Amino acid sequence: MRPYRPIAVGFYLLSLPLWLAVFLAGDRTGRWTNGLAAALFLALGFLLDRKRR
Amino acid sequence: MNLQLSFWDWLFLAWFLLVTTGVGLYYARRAGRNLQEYFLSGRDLPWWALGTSMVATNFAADTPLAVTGIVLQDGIAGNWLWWNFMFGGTLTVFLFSRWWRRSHITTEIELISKRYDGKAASILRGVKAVYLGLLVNSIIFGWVTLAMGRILEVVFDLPRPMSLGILLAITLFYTALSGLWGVVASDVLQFSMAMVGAIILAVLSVQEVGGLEILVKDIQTLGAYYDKDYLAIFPTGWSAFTGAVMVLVLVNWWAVYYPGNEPGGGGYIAQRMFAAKNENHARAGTLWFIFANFVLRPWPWILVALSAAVLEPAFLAGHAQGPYAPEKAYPWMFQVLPEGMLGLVVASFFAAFMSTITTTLNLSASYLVNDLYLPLTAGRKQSDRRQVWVARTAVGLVTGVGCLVAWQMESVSGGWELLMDVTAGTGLVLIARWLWWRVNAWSEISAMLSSALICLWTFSEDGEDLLFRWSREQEALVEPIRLLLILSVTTVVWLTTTFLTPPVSRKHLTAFFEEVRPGGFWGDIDLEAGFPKSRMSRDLILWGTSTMMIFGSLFGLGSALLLQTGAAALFLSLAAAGTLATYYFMRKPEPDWLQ
Repeated sequence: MRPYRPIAVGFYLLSLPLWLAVFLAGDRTGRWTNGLAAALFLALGFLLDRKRR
Repeated sequence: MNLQLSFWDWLFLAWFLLVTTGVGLYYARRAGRNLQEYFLSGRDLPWWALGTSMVATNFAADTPLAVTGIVLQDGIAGNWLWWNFMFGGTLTVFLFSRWWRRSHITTEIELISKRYDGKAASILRGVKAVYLGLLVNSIIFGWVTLAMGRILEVVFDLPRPMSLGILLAITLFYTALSGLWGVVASDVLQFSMAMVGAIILAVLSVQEVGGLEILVKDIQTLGAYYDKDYLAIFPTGWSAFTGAVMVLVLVNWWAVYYPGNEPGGGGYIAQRMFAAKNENHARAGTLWFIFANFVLRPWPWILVALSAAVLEPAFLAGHAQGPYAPEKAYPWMFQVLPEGMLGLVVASFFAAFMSTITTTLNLSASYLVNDLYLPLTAGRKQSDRRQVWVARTAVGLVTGVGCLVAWQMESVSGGWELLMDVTAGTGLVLIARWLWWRVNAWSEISAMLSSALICLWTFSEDGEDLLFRWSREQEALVEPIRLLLILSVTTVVWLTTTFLTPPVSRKHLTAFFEEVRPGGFWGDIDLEAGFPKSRMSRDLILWGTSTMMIFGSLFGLGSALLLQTGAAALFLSLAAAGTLATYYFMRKPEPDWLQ
């Protein structure tokens, strides 16, 4: 049973537009800040997805 | 100050609202089963979720702005205004969190029926349900909503009624349907986002200044000009400000019933302890809340405040209003954010607002239903589902009253100050009820009444005259002296009332002790209940070591960021020693009867 999967999915979904912004950003700052935030959300989602009761 | 949001920023904002609502709504079916699910997540919350939810709730939309304002007016040491609550926080972790969880109650107010007996207890429970559920939480709702409305209008140039209306409608929709699970799940998302946004803003702000070294040097130069040490962590020299901080540190945290920092725990902090899987999760979750609240949150905001002051020294000039009012320095720094990231930071403001509102609504409804509606309809048979719908209706009712309060509230700080002052003397009795058998319902009733009455008197012409004289015309001392006056009178009144009224029946006290097993002064009730004399020495040692751990981490991290290597080494050593000692005493086996 993975009770925290909905929260994990929330993190995955939140990272989506940030990944898009990384590829479309016009400057270096835009790329690393959006990329960092997206990677963090992805990691948090992954951690929660793996967590069981 | 109007920030232009790009297409990507708007996209992130809309996406955030959609995702948060979706995650909240996922839990609607589970929440609809019964009131235990709706208000307490079926008592199944793990420590990380309940602790994160506590800190997310404590983080309102205007908190970063308020901390920025404090730093630019009084320096970093001004934060003692809220850092003092840390002493009470760690006491709650190691003394009260397990007692709360062992009580097996649904709301903080229900403790009244468990701890006291007789008609006075029933009246106190009903009155407190209305007082906390409708009055106090509506003021919090109004204050938070009003602050968010101003941020939307002044900072983001969004039309206040429409944007606030949409935000409130979404929040009400998923809070009413999804209960505490929905609130906590969205809190975890919202707090993570708020912290990521704050840290990235701090990094970019410092980069804009030219690095930490230049930031520190320039702030010291500005400090010399304004004759103020903005970087000092403790107040320096003897002044009215130092006196005010001393009163806060020595008295405020145990005397004032401040939402989120209630003496002995209470409100949404207690609600999440009840919702924990077990006592250990309740304790660990509350400790995580204290760490995140006091150590993780403030430094990004402080760095942003200092960077803004270096880039635009007008923020230090003491303008109360206008574009250079100190609290506007935080959104002013948004100009360094790139596309997409601005959307995330704006969404983090929405997140901070929504997490506070969702908890306020769920908590208020729990008081109105569990402590007013259910006792009044005790004889009537009603299904679980019906009770949940009553709770959902209560959420709607509190929203309505909260909107009215927000509409009527004159100033953002007005409601807050009144809330703090009216309850200024009640903290001690809330702690004493766990530790001393003699406290009864009349003790609490008399403390609440005397605190409110003496508080109102201090705002009369005679009261103001007296406070002004006693503070020797030092404005910074007026509030601390008001607090001491309310506390002294209230303590005398409730202690006298306690001795003049009959104690709680022995049978009731023994039943309470058997279930909760608190420490302190219980006469021979503990022996009669079959337990050895209650001892708290281990918990009090843990209070000391954890306080050292939190303060050491808070100041160690700050000193390191401000490049004060000597101080950083000292504080981080204290933090390490505190952490090791806390770990050692927590691992030490407890007597069987305490487990």
